[in-house]
Amino acid sequence: MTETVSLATEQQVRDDVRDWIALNWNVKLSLSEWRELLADSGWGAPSWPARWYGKGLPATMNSIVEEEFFNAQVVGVTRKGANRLAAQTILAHGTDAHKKRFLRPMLTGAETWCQLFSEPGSGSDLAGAMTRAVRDGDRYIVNGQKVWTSMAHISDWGILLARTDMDVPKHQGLSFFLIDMRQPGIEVRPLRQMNGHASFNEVFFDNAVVNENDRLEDEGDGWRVATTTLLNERRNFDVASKKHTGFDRQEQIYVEEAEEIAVALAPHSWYPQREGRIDLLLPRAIERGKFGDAALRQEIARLFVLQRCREMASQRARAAIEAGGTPGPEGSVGKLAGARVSRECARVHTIISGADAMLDGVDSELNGTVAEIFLSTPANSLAGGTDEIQKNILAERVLGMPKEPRNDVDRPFKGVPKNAL
Amino acid sequence: MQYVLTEEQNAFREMIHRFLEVHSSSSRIRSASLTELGWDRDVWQQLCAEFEVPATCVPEAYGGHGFGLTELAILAEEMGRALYCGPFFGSTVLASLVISNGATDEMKKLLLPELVKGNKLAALAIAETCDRWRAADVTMVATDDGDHWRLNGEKLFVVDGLGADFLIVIARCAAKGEIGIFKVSSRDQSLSRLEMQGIDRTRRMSRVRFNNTQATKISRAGDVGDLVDDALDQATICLCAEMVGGAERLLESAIEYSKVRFQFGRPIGSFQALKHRAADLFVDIELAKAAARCAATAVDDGDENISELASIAKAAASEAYMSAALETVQFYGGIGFTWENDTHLWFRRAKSSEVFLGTADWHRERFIKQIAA
Ligand SMILES: Cc1cc2nc3c(=O)[nH]c(=O)nc-3n(C[C@H](O)[C@H](O)[C@H](O)COP(=O)(O)OP(=O)(O)OC[C@H]3O[C@@H](n4cnc5c(N)ncnc54)[C@H](O)[C@@H]3O)c2cc1C
Repeated sequence: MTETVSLATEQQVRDDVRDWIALNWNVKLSLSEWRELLADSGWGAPSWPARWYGKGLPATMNSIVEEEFFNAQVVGVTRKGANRLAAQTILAHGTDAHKKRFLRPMLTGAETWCQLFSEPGSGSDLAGAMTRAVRDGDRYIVNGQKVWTSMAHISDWGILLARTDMDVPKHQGLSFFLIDMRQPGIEVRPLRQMNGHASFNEVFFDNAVVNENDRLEDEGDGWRVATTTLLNERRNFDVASKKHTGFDRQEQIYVEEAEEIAVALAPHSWYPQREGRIDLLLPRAIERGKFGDAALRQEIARLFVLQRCREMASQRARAAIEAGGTPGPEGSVGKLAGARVSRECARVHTIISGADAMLDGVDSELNGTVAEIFLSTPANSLAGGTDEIQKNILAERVLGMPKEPRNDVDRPFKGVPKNAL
Repeated sequence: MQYVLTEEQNAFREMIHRFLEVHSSSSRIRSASLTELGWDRDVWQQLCAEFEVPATCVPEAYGGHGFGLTELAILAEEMGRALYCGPFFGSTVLASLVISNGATDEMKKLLLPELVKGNKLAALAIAETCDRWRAADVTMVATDDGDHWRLNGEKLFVVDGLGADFLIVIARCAAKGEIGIFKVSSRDQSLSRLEMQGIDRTRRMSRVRFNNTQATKISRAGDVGDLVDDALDQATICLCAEMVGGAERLLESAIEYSKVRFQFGRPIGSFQALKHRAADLFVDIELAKAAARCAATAVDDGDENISELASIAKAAASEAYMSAALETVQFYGGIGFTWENDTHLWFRRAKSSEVFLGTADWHRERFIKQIAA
């Protein structure tokens, strides 16, 4: 019964998108001209409210609309930076003034956003953020440091979690700001990883300024806002299955889009290697004449089994989210399984390589790809919450085991033991 | 069998440890590994002059100190801990051991004293494909043109090959296919040496091409494959000691960090999850260390089953070192994944050592076949 209803609506949405595309898509427009038209139409962000550049459709329709765009080879809204995350957060917690000022350029790509959460002193313990925002009349003065900030070097704006009160428990002393990245008080430096790439940045605040008006929700309510961002981050991660890499076409608008995507993707060219490149195991084993080795076949098969189970588990989780649920702690299962796949892939690639595993750069197999697997796979046990944190989530929230006793939430933050800044 | 180090051995270890702490600090390693040679000549000269490192396990008859493999392994362990980058492993371990085990007395008298003083360096050229590190796998042929032996073909993964004054090459004598040991001057014009870009920048390797290159045979008549393999087993044991040293250093650094890094209002080392990881790792490393140490003393005791012990040690050390590297990154969290943090220097060595001189799989296979035989 529900199925037929949603099928009917789905068909209706498809028809509407097609009609609109037929009337409006014009390959001769520049990227920004087209995106402005698209943002105003509501088809750029179908699940957003009709009042705010959306169509007020259920989230399940996003992928339907995307599919129609893709099939018609129509350029969509920008996917760069943390634009989408920042927009989702502003939609949930911003004032009308914020929405009016920020949402449209987030879709068109006229402005780029970054996410300023992680700090050198607070990674697993995000609520332990120590970057200070001190009130000064109708503005705040920001001092401190963020780290692991993608795209900060090309960002216009950032969503910032900062401490406004040291005298209350940690979660209550945080506030959430929209901060202008183009100011003298902010310095962005590239952060180089152990695999040689510099995909992230460190961001230093030295008396940077943010207006009181650019705070989301009340002072001290920042953790609640950040929770929205984190929830959406997980949801986007869980739901986004295929990555858009642009259309291989010559017209100006496609070229512009491809350039935008290239800039966004370039620092992350090693991301497939970080997953372990399970796709390369079989071809490499065969090419190196080792597929006859029964022990190696077992290793590869074991990994494939793990990977297939993981895919099916994540499809189940995705279906639950699309059916309207929020991403639960079950996401940790997929995350942990993914980290395991990465690590095991590196191990099996080593078996396939033998002594060639000692090589790097052009001397390494597949022009350095194999070496990059070895030097990138540790990332998946860290990024987006470490394995230990995922296991704690599963044990405490899913399995209902007793919580660790804590000494950091029941007292003023300034009295909590922490690393010196 | 001697299970614990003597007082003298410990004093020796302590001395070298203190020297390397200063002269092979991570900043020195980083800068040395950026140079073309890959290591610091002054530090090596000091190791030769002050500690007479290359003399350690060379018999007194050839100018050495006549200590055993135990002492050489102690050195290796400290070198590995400090991630020393220099010709120690290539010249003092690999090449010298092959000469000591396999060359004629006359040739030992000629070659070893020079190596002992440290004014000459040698490198071993044996591997021809990526999975073969033993004499039986060698296919390169040495032909006798009446006056000289001539070598043709290519050798891979020649450790410290670029800095070596001469190469010790394992090849088959043309007529009967017997394994022989040859010496080639690296100044020979017909030789080409190319660096193989390694994941571990602290251990340099090269690809050496021989083009009708003139060589001197330094082994006796007949097949000396067994002697070469003995030397390789001894070198493997030293490698295991080196790996254990590196793994211990990683674990120490992870534990140190876990005491000073606070999250959630407490040092991360107070989380049982990390305590258990550290304890597991400690067990792995202690097991590998026991195997490496016992294998070294077994060589000095003249035991028969050295290849078995070498394989046990390498299978254990390959896994222990690699998991120490992965765990240490994990202990450090995000910062452990950065270039700036030193962990990746050891991580790279762990990865490289994992497969050097035979993968864990290869050693397990050899071991099980030997005990089943
Ligand atoms: C490749 C990469 C990409 C990243 N991308 C981003 C990004 O885009 N945005 C962003 O904000 N951040 C990003 N990060 C940062 C990442 O989220 C943090 O590194 C991670 O959350 C861990 O925090 P930390 O580095 O401070 O380590 P710490 O929190 O200091 O952890 C150190 C160790 O302590 C353990 N530990 C901590 N708490 C507990 C506990 N309660 N119980 C048991 N063990 C514990 C950890 O598991 C870890 O082993 C990225 C990191 C990497 C490596």
